[in-house]
Amino acid sequence: MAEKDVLIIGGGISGITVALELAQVGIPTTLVEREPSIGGLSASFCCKASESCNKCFACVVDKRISEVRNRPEISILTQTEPIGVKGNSEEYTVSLKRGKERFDRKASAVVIAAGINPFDASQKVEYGYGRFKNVITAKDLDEMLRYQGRLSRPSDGQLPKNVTFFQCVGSRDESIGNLYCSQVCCAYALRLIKAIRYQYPEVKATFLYMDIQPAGTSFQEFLTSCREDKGIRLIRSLPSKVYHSSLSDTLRVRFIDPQKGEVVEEPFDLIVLSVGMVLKKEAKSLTQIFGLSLTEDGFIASPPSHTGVFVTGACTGPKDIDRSILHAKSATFLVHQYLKGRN
Amino acid sequence: MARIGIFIDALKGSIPSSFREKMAAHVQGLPDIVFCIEEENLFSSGGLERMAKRLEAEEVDRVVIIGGSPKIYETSFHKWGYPLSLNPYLFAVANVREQALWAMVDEEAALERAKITITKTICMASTSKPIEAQSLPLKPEVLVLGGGITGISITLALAKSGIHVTLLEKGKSLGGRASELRRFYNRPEEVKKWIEQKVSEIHQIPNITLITQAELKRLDGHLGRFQAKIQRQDGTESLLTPSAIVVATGYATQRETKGIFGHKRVITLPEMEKLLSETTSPNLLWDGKKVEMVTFLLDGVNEDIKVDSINAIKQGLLLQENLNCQIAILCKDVKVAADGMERLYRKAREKGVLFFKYEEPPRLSMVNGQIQVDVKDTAAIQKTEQWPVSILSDLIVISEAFIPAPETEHLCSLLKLHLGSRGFLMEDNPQLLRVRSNRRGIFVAGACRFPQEVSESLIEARAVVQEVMALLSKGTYLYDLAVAEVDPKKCAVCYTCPRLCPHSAITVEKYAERNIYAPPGTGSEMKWGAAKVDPAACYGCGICVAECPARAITLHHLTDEGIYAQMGLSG
Repeated sequence: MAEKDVLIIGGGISGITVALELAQVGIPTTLVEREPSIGGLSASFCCKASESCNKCFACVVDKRISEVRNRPEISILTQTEPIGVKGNSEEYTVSLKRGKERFDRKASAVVIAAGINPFDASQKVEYGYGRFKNVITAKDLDEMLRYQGRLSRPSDGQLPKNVTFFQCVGSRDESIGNLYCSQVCCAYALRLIKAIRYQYPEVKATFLYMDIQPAGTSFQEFLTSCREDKGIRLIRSLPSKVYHSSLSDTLRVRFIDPQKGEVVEEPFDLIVLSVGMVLKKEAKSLTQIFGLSLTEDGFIASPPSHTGVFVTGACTGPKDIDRSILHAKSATFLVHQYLKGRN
Repeated sequence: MARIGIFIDALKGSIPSSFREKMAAHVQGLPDIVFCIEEENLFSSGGLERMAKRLEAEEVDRVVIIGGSPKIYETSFHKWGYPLSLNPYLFAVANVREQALWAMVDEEAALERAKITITKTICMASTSKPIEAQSLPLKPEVLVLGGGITGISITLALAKSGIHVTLLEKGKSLGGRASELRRFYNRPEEVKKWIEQKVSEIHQIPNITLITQAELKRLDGHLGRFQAKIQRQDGTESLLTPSAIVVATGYATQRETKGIFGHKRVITLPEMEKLLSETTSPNLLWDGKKVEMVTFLLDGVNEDIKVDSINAIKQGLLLQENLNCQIAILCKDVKVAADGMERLYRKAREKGVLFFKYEEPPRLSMVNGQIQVDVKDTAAIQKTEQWPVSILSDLIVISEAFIPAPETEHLCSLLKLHLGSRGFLMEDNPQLLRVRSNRRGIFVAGACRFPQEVSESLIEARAVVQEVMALLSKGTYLYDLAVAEVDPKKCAVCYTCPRLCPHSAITVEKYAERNIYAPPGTGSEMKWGAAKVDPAACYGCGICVAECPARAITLHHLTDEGIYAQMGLSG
């Protein structure tokens, strides 16, 4: 291992891509990850194919994780986090902490790919996340499908017959301070619905939304196939409140039915909250260590490239897997150019 | 006669020792086995070293590991380096842990399954042949098709990295469709100035060859050895031999002109952009008269493209704020899935821009020289408010349909790329990700992939540069011959394989040396063509092997012979 690597902070899909792409041009890297394993948030996503691939890109992550482990140019430090930095753009010395052990790493450049957290849905008190068992987030559902392999209602383990998705939970919502669109949740939730409907045709799904945001080249065909599906209702209306009855596990949802033009209450077996993206909690300390500023929306603003510190991935603004990889590649080019310009 | 050495993975907790003993006993009865020993630490550098020494001492020419998934051994090879003097293709793994031990309920059945797996792997190993790595020299030369902002950015970045770039543009000047824009939605500078600066840079850098008013006529060859015939408008032709090609040919638009849409008070978003850049007075003038009410009508076309929504909000805000107009924006969905757009949308509403979300298309009619728009707003809460809202407008701004550039289909067949379902180049593909195409050495970026915002195109441009640099920076392309090969003697030139190859790696050579055909009775021999797989372009997927009616194609790393041996059908 070379003494002076490019230090990549964050072992999610963006960090992994930067490491792999730099390895392609022969630049050694050290990948620093807080968690015991690399992959980040996107590694917990399930495949959302129905009759055919729905282009969720979850499979790409698994492949890249095994690839990054096999590259001799990349050394991986898990359960490690940066606690300080010394030096200037000539050479950074980053202090790292691994359990009780502390050590320094010299770095020719630093790439920050801190990633995001799903929005904490319990902040939307009216939806009852954390209080009602059958209110879950889309991420919970995704992990349930990936690790348990089946859809079940948390309260009794039965198959929910009637599932609803609430969009824009924690996005486009000034009341909780997030005045931005998380960009990925529409396609994400619709793909989840598609995957569930394919596996369990008896399950009916309702999609409560504000505006549908397009994603990708074949989104229109995908959306049309969702609209044509009799088991999926797309309703332009965000619900106001979830009610719980002590007699049964079924929850009641209050929303405006635009067809009828009046407020209705409907029972659902399972409520899935499409939570938006917020900057990863731990990234706040990173911005202090590296003296980075935040954007209006609370993500990390890219510093000028002559500083030798680069920021990429969803921590710069909401991105799906596809765009994270694209942005990471583009950031790699900047890092490469920066290193070449210095020599 | 093969000499096979076998190692049984004796890692603690992996395969129980009693099971290992039974497998070892089974192996002893098989032919061609030189030794079969247990090795406890196949994952350490020391273990691999012991393994290498043993192989050399026993003069073994094939290795089989009996253990878990081949992936774990691959990982340790990657980690410690491949230590064996044997060719990697002479190394095989019998995955008894996952395929037998874990898959079966009782040990008896597992052992039976394991025996079969081991026998098959050994049979397969005894037929395997070494495959050597090859290298292909790559010159630092790239051809960029399309002189829009994507093409310009790619050209500049590649040229600054020391690559010779030929930029091909069919029109007279560079800049493309982005020059229609006045300002970016998320950056302060003017688009025109930005483009002018980039274009002047292109003229200054010596290792850029700019060819305008010319187009690609023909493309032969593969990665590293492309041969591109360029034809200028004056009829002169030239031949380029780039190592890689970047396609950034952009998009075209189509304007609706039927009925009332042909009226002079109906303009398009780019026309509005132009009008705004020409306006210097505090009011917007159209036809010499002051414009007070402007209605944007979106989503009639390109429902899934957010560029229109971004441009409409950007223009609407400017009109409302600075030019004393009242703005209404009619759309199916407000598309704000871009950084900073929700804030812009909020600001537009605060400044008084009206938004209506419709499901039924709005009706347009002429009233006293103005255009009346009737729209049903689905976002209205009360039923009584859902009656059509009528907006008397001085100007209607509609979006143009984004369509593939007219030459896209032709280009696609020239370059042998995949066309997406909507006629743009390539679709989102988890196997290729963005910017890569189905052919090695050809990249696709910008709006010819899919119409998108300028900033997104620029990010794609940088990603392409990264990909091209990763490919060309080493000066050679390393590959091994784990690919398909056609036996020219058996090839009947039926053109099945070149049509089926998803990566366009197969071409038909007109006069292949070895394929000679003597028509009966003529006595004379004539040379016959044959298909040829380019080894650097082949991905080794095996589709052609399965489809060849003459069985003329083999995959080097997975031969018919090997599969028959595995099935116990050898000979």
